[in-house]
Amino acid sequence: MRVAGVGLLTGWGEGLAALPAHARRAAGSRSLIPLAAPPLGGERFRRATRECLFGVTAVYALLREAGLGSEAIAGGDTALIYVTAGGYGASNRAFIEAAASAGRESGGALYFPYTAPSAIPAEVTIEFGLRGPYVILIGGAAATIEALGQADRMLAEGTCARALVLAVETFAECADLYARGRWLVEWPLVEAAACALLLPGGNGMMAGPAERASPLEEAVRRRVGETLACAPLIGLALACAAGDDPWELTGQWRGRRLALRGERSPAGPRR
Amino acid sequence: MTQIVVTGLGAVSPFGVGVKAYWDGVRSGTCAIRPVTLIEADGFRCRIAAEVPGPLPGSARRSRGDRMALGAAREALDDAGLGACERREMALIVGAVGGGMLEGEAWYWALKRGGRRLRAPQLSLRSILPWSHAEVIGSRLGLEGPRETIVTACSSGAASLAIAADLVADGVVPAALAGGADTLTRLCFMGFNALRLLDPDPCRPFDRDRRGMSIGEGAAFVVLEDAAHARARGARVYAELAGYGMTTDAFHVTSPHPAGEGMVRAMQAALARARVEPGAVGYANAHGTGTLQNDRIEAGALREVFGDGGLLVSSTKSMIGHTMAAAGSLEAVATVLALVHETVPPTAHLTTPDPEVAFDCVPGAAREVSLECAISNSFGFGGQNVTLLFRCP
Repeated sequence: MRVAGVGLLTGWGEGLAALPAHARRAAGSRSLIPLAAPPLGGERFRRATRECLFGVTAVYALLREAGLGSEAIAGGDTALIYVTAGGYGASNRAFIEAAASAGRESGGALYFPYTAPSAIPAEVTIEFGLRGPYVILIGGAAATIEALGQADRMLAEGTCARALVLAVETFAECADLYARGRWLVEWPLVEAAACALLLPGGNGMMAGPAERASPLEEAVRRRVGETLACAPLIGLALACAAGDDPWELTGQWRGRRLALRGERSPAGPRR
Repeated sequence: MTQIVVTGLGAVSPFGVGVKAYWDGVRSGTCAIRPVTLIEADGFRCRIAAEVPGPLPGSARRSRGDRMALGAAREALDDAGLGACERREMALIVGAVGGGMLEGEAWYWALKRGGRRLRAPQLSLRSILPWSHAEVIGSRLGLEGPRETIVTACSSGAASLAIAADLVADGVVPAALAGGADTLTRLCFMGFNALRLLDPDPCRPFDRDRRGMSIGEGAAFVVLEDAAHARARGARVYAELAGYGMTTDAFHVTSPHPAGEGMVRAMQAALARARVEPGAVGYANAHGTGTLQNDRIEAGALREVFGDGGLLVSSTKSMIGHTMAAAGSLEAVATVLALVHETVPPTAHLTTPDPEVAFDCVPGAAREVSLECAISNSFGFGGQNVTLLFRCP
């Protein structure tokens, strides 16, 4: 597969240029770096949650980076593969709390649909008219490696003409719950949305087990912080920008680390 | 082109543990939708659901969802006769939504209401999120190949089979375990009640007087295998997964496209992949939720693809409710067994057929019929449409 573009939003700002050299130093005493709500408004997004807006905004960022219009990805030939580890936590918590305090059926008919992880990619498909194959994976960075492998297979088979791999992670609304996890102590949690537009071509890739973190995985954590499922896509952006050839992405989730290796330099996003 | 076959089936359903109990219930048209006992239903408009009767397999320290998933997965692997060595390299694709939410909700609400620190039930909380089922199945049953958790809402179970079929077809693995699991949760029960999508009585898909859906819970898994691999080890083959289609409506977060455009494309894609003419499909296990909108739109989509022919259509949800992430895989198992037994399961509670539904929806009693191919439709929040097409081996 070839990389036609990468869109990136993090709590540090839009794109690679916004990333600090060292996330922990840049964060100082902050354990969470939130993303500001994107300026998408109007009736169309009246009910959409913050994480939905991040997903849509990341795709717009990708299109800008790649110099493409929305029509370039619209239609039935574009597959969407969405990944998150906890991007729906906020909506679930809000719904449960509303129901717990207000009681019974007042949990909110308007908000219940947004408790489903599928609400985020659904808003993306509606916004950009994506009508092709559709997969949603739950998990952290390892699931994103699987998603990239899945996209590669779909492109190779001709199941789709292009594949959009999207990841969104939000933490702010559940910060107290995340704080219970000791595994989050080392790096600041950084809200992020990232996506890559992939096209056929190049050499085939295979996701497989990995024993240790690749330099790219380490670089992402060092520069950005903990972004869970977004990390491999940020790594892909770094690889594109650096012209790495070959490149290896790894991602770990709950004791399982996977790798995806590219044998040919992907085309970098236009800058 | 690699032929993908079904060599193992497993189910934990509102009829109990095991494929036999499930098929006996479905074939006989028995309704398993009863008053809710798992969660507090007082004050809700709808107070019924299809619960899996106890006792569940596995340790009581695990979440309800993990226990159902593990029970169904183990049965499917045993049924396929796959040994430890073969299991090690299998892919595991799990459709899930609720995960261990039932236990997580109870803890969280107690915490909120009690206003004090409660000791978290460790195993339950560790399994609160949807990927837990895959972790438990993989570690307990020795599946070390690719592992994914699919969460395309109510089409998750069907999508898991499609993704697994791809992995086998591409030669990534020779066999895969795929399916879905979901339990009742307060979140779902409240949410669907709030949306006024639940019928206070057991749902009546395709009936003129239908008033909404019933929810349920369960798990089902199938073993998908490269046909050559299955032949080489002398495995019994239930059916071929000849094709599938996955599409998106790009229309609305909750409502299906009014013309069923995405549903039509999913069914057409499944036919095209299987290289099967519409006339060869004798049975459609419909998504058939029992809501006014879904049944009418699905019937229209079926008509556009299959015409006004002799296609038999029935809804398993009329008996076990909408089991959400498990629905697609439980219904896939029913579809495979319909081919095996040449028996189309009925639609329960269908007394006054909707004149807008141009099909024989097999009211009340199962129908014995010769079948070559059958499809199973699953549609989810967000406009995700999956059609699986099975063919007699």
